[in-house]
Amino acid sequence: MNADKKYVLLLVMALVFTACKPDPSFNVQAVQEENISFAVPEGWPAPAYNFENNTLTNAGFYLGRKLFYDPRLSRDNSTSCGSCHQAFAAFAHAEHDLSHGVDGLLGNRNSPPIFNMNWHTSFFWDGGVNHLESQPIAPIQNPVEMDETLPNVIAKISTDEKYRQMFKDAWGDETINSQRIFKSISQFMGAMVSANAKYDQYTRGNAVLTQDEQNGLTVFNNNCATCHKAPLFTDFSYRNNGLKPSIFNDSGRAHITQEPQDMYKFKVPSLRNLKYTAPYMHDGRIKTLEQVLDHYATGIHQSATLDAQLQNGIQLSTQQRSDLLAFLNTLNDESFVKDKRFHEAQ
Amino acid sequence: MKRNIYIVGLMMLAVACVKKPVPETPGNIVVPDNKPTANLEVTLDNRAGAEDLLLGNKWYITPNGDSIQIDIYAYYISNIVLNGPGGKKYIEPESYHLVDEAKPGTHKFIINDVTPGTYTSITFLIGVDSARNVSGAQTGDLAPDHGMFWDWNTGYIMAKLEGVSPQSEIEQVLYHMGGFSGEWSVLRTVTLNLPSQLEVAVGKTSHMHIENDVMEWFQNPVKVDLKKNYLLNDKYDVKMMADNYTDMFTVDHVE
Repeated sequence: MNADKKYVLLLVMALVFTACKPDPSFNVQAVQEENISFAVPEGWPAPAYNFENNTLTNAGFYLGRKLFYDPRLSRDNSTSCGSCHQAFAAFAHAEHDLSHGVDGLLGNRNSPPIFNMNWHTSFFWDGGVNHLESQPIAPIQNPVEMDETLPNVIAKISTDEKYRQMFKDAWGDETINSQRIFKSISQFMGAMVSANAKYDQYTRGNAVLTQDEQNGLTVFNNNCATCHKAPLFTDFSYRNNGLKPSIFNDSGRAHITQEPQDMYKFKVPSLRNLKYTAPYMHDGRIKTLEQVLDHYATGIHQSATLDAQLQNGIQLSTQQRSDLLAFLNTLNDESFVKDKRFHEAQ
Repeated sequence: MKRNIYIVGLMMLAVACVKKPVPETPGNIVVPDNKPTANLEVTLDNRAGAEDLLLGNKWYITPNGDSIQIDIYAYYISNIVLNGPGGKKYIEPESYHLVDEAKPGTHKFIINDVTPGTYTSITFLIGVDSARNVSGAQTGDLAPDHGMFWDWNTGYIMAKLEGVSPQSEIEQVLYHMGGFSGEWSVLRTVTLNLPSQLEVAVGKTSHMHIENDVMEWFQNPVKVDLKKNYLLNDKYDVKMMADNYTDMFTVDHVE
């Protein structure tokens, strides 16, 4: 190749490299650095939500994260999803039995944690919502939570140039609509997989349980595993676990089905990440795990819809209780709560 | 040789900037190409008995003799099928239409690219089929932004009627019709015979004028007493109302 031709080639190459100069408002480096992906952990069942109709991308995930932490989704711009779903609390609301929304108004149920959502086929303590993408609508519109309308949310964020760019990055153009909002938030929530607790490492052969933990696993299998089924540690059913109705007289699942046999039944929660998600139960009435075990031992309130397996409570010796608590501790996934990808962007 | 380098360079330019394909959102409006198509414009004309329906500030008498003023009136129709002789059918793709009396723009819609031919009846569902009630975030008429979606117990409000009545002890009448599965589903499929044959042909837009009589909510088979049923109290009331309003549509004329 002679010198002339080399220059021509160089010129063309220069054109190639400058033609695709990145938009400075778009952080290419971050996109390339972070692995935003979803994989079914080894040995887990197939998820209900697998991003089949909502391709998981970094841009979609980041948009979902921005929306999740944005208080403009509430009527008075005070309350975001992240206000009551805090990363360090495994996305539950730390130290809150009930949560306060706009104007300090209180709800009547405990803010549930967010992880492994893709395996859920229903949402909320009463299972009233049937799809991950339909879940965020309720807290946004609930008068005691964020109390905002979807047209207002769209109007508010549409004035923000950064959002318009992020919608373009995620969805191909700047159109902001509720479908794109909910699909983006679902990308963020759906990517939150907690599957790296000591127990998970144990099942993969990468960790060894102590004798106490091993004994606790046996106690768990004999007393808890039917409802809190591994590996999600819930069977996703609705059950009355013997809590005496409070002044709210929350009918639970029956509120949705209008069936008397569903009175006072609530969705079985996962036992993962309990260290971070106190207080416990659908109304957050129990503060510690010891007290939860006290409830199952001596606190069962008899009623027509009480779960058959709890008619006599769960009676454990002091040793069994201590072993069980040791085992439950192996279900805490510190790497999940510390995962910066799920934290509010700085 | 030089030319070859240029070509290679241009090819590199061309491929270097190919964008990753953007995932298509379901329900995006398909822009029709320019070739002439056979189209059908459907008008939904809401009425109260013999009169045109007006929202607010107008009193109507129900078949039971109760007074009512209607403030909100909206419903979904979906899964439109045109039926012709010999079992011929045209099925509208992505067929979801919200008709809201307060929004005149929703009283008409155009079905593009209908299979040309003769049709004698129309079949559709009052409400949104169960599949779309369990499929997550939708767009267009199915977006949850129109006040026709329950957020706490997922599902579309298939039809909504709100108003005031002196017979109601709370002074209001509130009917929100929903529920898409099992024996208590409010979904009703109706087939309406056309008063004359509908001819759909390439290069023209045919018309179908459908009337909806809101008074059919209050009668046939059950005459509704607003003293008792200013709300839908339970699934039995909801079923009664769905059975009542099944016959609220008629095709007035086609052209």
